[in-house]
Amino acid sequence: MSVTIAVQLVVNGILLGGVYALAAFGLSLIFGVSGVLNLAHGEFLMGGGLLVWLAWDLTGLNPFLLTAMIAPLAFGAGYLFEKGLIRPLAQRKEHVRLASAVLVTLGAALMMEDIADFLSLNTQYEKSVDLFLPTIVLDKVYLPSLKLVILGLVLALIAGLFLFLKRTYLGLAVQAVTQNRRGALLNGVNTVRINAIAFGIGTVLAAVAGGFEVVDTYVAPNIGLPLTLKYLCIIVMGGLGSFAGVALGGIIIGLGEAIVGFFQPAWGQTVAFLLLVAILLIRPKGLFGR
Amino acid sequence: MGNHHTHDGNCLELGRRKFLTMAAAGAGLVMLPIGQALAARNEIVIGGTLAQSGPLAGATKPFVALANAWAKRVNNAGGIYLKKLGKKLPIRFIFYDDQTSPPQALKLYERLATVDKVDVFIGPFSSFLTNAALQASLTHHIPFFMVEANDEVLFEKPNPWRTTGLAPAKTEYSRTVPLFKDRADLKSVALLGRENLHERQSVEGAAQGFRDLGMQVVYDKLAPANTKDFSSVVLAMKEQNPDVVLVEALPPPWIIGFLKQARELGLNPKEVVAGHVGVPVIKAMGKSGNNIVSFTYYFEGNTPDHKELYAISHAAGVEPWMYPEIGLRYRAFRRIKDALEHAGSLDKEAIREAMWKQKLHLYGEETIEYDKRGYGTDIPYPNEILGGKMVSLWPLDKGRRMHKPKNGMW
Amino acid sequence: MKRAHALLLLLVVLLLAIPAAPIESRTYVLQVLTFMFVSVVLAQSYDIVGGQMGYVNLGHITFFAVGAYAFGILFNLNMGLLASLALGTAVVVVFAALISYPFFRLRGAYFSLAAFGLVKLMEQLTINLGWLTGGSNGLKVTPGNRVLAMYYASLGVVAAVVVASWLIERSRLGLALKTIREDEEVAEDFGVPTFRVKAQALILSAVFPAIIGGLYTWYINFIDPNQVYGLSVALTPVAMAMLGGSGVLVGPVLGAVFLYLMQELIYTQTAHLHGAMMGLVIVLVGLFMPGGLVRLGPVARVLRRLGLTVEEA
Repeated sequence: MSVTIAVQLVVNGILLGGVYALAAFGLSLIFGVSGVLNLAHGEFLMGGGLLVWLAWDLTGLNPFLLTAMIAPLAFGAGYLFEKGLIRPLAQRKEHVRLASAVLVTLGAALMMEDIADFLSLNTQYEKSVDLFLPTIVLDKVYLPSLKLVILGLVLALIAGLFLFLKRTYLGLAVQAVTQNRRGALLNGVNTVRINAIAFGIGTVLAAVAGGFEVVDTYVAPNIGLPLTLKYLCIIVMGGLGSFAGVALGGIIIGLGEAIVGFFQPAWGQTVAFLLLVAILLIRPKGLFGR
Repeated sequence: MGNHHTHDGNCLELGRRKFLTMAAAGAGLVMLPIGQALAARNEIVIGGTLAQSGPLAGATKPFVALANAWAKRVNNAGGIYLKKLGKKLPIRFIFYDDQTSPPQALKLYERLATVDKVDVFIGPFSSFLTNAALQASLTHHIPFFMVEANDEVLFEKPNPWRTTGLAPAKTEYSRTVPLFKDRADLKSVALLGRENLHERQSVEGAAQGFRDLGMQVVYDKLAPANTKDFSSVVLAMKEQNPDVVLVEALPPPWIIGFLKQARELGLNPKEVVAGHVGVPVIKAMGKSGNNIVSFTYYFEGNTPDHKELYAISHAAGVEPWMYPEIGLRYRAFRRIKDALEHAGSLDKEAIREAMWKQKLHLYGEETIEYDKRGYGTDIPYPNEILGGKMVSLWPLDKGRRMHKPKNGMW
Repeated sequence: MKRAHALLLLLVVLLLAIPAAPIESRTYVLQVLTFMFVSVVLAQSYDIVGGQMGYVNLGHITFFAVGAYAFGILFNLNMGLLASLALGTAVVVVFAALISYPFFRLRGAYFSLAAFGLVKLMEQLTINLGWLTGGSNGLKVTPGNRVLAMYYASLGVVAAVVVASWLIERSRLGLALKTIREDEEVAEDFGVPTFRVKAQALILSAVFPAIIGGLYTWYINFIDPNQVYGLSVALTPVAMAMLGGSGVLVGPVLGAVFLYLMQELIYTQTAHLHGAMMGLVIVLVGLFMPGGLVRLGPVARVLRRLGLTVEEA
């Protein structure tokens, strides 16, 4: 295998992993703060992608611009989702709350998928934005510009997320709640509002990832649940509550899929789960789990 | 969340009775339609399922509306004439959602047979769902008009109650590949198929077709159904520098994924052929889609059959080229009508016999009929993407003149 | 307890007698009930580990899938119905035993998602070992008219799994499961052999899906990876158990029957938005019935009078 192909694969892998990591961050944030594994997370990604596509189909504006424009909508959707469906469960005992959260978020996911399905009734099912930027060729390695742009935006967003968490009051409050809910409460943090905000931010990340997805490949009503499960695997693999773990987890899975996909196409998509099981057997709490 | 009330026996009696009543009501509601079905038989009922949810939901979006639009047209003319009854009877379609699940298909065709008491079956989308659905036709002796189904599996066991309109999968490209006859500039072809029985067979047929034209097959592989990243395939193809690239897959995301990455990674053949192209692929590729050759189950023309196809498609809110199988569905409707007319009655054995003996003339130039096993004669006609639409390339001499090679113009 | 027994007897007689009912849509009703029984078996067997022991096993469906495929392969070797079922179940039991030790080193969400990962892995393995399983083209067995036999057989498995759950709940194993659910560390401190107990529970929970999986293949005579490993097939038993009430004997049964009948109703009576309505039902139960249907006031009272105690959540 030549060096060019090797480099190509690594580039592909990092690009793949970057987009995974973005959506997984959102899920990890939500889990860290509220303790809920949001099974509807992938649906927000799908919804974001569909909205961007719809807006693009109607206006022809740049899809990245459109993605930025739907971000506030996504925040609102996540905030309301938490307020309406998750907050009522807060007072329940842990086992009950877990089961209830599973039911509520799974039911919501089914609803969102089917409504998107219904709205696609007289149009196409799979939606993809046609945007092509010329490929950069560096010494026989093909760097698709579009993917590079996406990667750049993903990195910028992740950097923004980190700055938010480390430098703003809200961000510090979010970290506090993640580490010790009661302690944060005792220190005057409005944990109820932080929950909702975390959901909002997490949903924005998912929707933005959806906007990238619809440009890079495609979006369809039925992609939500399988993606949610992939992201759950990433955050569990990285260690619940660890952001570094998510980043590493995403990259590992992206690289794994690209490299394994080249040698053994049949195993490409399963690599994520194979790695998950393998890593958990070695480190039962994930890579950086506490 | 505790409940601190105490209740005496009365309240409990009520509770249990309520519970039992609810259970009985639930069971009753399931069997409710029995009442409906006992109504007088003065119409022809055609029953089937379609995947309105699940992985195949995207492929069948307009099919219910299409069927109902056709039924409306037929009924506006009074219905279908049945000689033995001496009159025309209107038709009605019943479709249930099989959720792309064989157990659901199995149950629902059984329901159509015993609760809705249909006269004939129209098949679901895809061979594996059809396989489950066929059981009801055998049990209840109801003629089954298969539509998007032609896997060998379905024909392993002889079943006198079913036929399919499609010709065997190997012939799928036999009207499309000859488009490239006498093209001295095309010497080599690379073929990629999705790892599935249908695609495997159609790619085989296509490869042979290219060989018959004197071209050399330089790449011929199948990739798994869940492939998302095609870069390794594209890179391997590039090494061979093929003049023609053919990709065969049923689900649009597969084709979109391959084409987008071929574009990104600089695969620029003279001609690109992609099977089963519909609206999702067209919109996804935009300008880059121009001059990609594909196929569909009709061709453009203005015979009365054409006019009917266009009319029902428009009534369903689509153009016939938007979904590759719209033409196929229309053929199934015509097969059903023809069989009923020749049977002259609603006797299922008569309809069955009429179905097998069919010689239905369509579009002024082809005949629908079946071979001994039950395979039909539907072979798709070539077309190409042009300006966000699909343009028919049939008859072939006209198509060869109209079609401009892609020549790497993404 | 007499009332409970009488009611149960009535239900059993009813179910046994349905095939003789003089209604035309009899076969349809039998098929509806048969597939409902399959759902009940999956939900109830899941709950042995998911409810009694508190480990949400998202990989439970692998037992069903491996059982279905094992049966199909053996049946195609002309081993006959009973031998194929028995041997197929044995394969699944060995499989469950093998995975229990590595997987039970994990807890909570880690366990659940690793178990789910197993589903995907097994699915891929099934696709890749095409020479054995038919790959993505699926596995077929010789068909036959098996409606009646399948109905009674699956009814039998339902009875078996319910009785087994009941027996486990009252046994020392059941007690051990409960202590693990409440606090595993403390259980260990008190000398409960947790690894062994967890493995036993997993194996027991694997037997019934294996049997019903084999029967499923026999009945539907064509299976493919998506049918037995698919996402909705994998998640539905868990949703049913939670909806009905996880950790209570009849919870999964109630949840399975309720959700299944709801689905039948919604899918055949309306033209669109079935999934959305199903989703709404599930959301409403999650929001307004904490602990599931079985802990709902009136239902709980009825069950208590029937002698099926409902634990406090």
